[in-house]
Amino acid sequence: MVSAIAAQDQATEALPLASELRTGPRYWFRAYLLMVRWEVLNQRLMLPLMVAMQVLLGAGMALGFGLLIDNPTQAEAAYLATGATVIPMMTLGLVMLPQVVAQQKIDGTYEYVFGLPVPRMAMYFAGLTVWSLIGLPSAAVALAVAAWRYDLDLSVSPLVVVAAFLVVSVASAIGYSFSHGLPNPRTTHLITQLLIFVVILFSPVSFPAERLPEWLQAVHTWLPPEHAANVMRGTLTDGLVDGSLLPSFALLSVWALAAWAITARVITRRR
Amino acid sequence: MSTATTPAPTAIQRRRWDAALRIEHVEKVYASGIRANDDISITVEPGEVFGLLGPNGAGKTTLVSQVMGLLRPTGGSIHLGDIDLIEEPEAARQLTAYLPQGELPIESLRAREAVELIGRIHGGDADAVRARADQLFELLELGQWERQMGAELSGGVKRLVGFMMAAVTPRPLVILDEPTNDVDPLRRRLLWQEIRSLADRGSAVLLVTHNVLEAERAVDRLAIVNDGRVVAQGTPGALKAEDRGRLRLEVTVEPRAELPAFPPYLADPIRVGRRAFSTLLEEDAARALDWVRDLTADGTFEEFELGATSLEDTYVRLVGGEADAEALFGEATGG
Repeated sequence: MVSAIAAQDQATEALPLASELRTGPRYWFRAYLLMVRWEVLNQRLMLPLMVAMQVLLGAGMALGFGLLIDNPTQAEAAYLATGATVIPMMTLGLVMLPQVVAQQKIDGTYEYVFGLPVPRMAMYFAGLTVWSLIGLPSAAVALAVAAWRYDLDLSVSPLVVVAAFLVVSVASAIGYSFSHGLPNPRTTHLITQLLIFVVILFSPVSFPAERLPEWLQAVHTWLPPEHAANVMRGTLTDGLVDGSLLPSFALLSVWALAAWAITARVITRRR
Repeated sequence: MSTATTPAPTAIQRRRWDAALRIEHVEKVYASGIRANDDISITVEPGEVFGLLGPNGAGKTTLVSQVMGLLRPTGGSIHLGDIDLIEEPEAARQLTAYLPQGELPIESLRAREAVELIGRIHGGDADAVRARADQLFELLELGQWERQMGAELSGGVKRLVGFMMAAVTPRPLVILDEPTNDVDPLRRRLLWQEIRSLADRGSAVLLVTHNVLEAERAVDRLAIVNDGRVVAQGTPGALKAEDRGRLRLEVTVEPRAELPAFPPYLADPIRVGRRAFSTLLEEDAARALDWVRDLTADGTFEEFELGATSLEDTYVRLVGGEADAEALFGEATGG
């Protein structure tokens, strides 16, 4: 008893190293919460500005439809407004998140952040959480402004949460993987620009797939954007999507799982 | 300098691990054929401050990345205690506290927040982390910057905040890459005390630096690496042994004068700008002095200095090269 106290007091008692190793869901979740804090504090100076920009973007998008199509009908406006919710989600995953990683590589903090004792996927989900909070308001604002301006009749299903989660997950996992995998962060910047351009202009998100050439329609059957628009549209309105949403949900789920698996591989890989 | 102000250590600091860092025959050859390090073997015992010295590009940072589980060696082994850090990179990160040489991502974090958050990410509980942060801010006399964000801190203070981030939750292995860069001389002394105290508390401390003068005083043992290989290893005294009985001659050449040929009893000079360094045996001191006085009198040399050799001379002898010497002496004499 006495010797135990003495040992503790003089700090001579050797602790087994394994006792230092943390594993399991509690460790994962604690690390996730701490990394959310880390991300928020890291963005705190830009946060108000970014949210304000997202709100303006959303409102601008909604009002911009009226310029693209003169006097859109209610159905046309609903189609555009629901399609437009997909754009900020894709931007979040394919542009914002990868650019954070690219920036860390450029300013030399990447090795520090990835040397922290945090499970890699907890780090990814923490980034996804914070950037969703930054990136998603514009989708909501676009919808709200469009609903008010064009007097839309939205019918929001609780499934919209699942839909949004899947869309954001697919986009962010893809963005996160290539920003880690590509050695040169400048390549990442270029790819983000290219991807978002393709998604906005050449994916059947804000227009029906029939307007695309047949081969591109066929390609899009298996790619996320069209299905992302489907699940968002289907869970925000009634009757705007023909047929069941199930195939779209299923395909997006497969994409999300595959993308996470690849992300997990890419971000735990060592050079 | 008073040491009486040291607050009593709290419970969390009284940890000890019987875990040496054992790096054995580590090598990294990239697919391109470039060899980043070659047969590196180093052991850092708990309670020890071990210096890793070498010029820029010697492979110091590569080795650190390998220990941290960020870079996979192509050969050899790295163990901390009985844990294989190459096979378990996640364990490596949990057991290691790290101060990188480069930028810290704390631009918009207040100093105190950064220290406490990293302490918690390293597994410390909130109370212990707060108590230890109090202690560190006091010991390093940084209280006035506690609430400043990283972007508002000077380079030296930011470095010290980075040190506190690595020291707040005790880890079995602590890796500090150029911890004293940009730190003012007074706080530098405090910092060295705290680095020593990390080792006294049972951590194995690996100190990466190219500042030989500081390392000589601060480390228990050191390895000098060059071109990815360990060229010498031992205590500072043992490494200097070969240069014992030798003196060092430093001359400054007049701006328009050529560096004259050195007599054979002087070692080949290493020239850095207008200065040149050489070593000689003690018994040659008298004729060397005559030689250098003459050349100073006729205006070839502006000034000279004859003195005892230091670890620097050993380092220069082992690492050689003018470019390296420039980095070395620029740092050592300028700071």
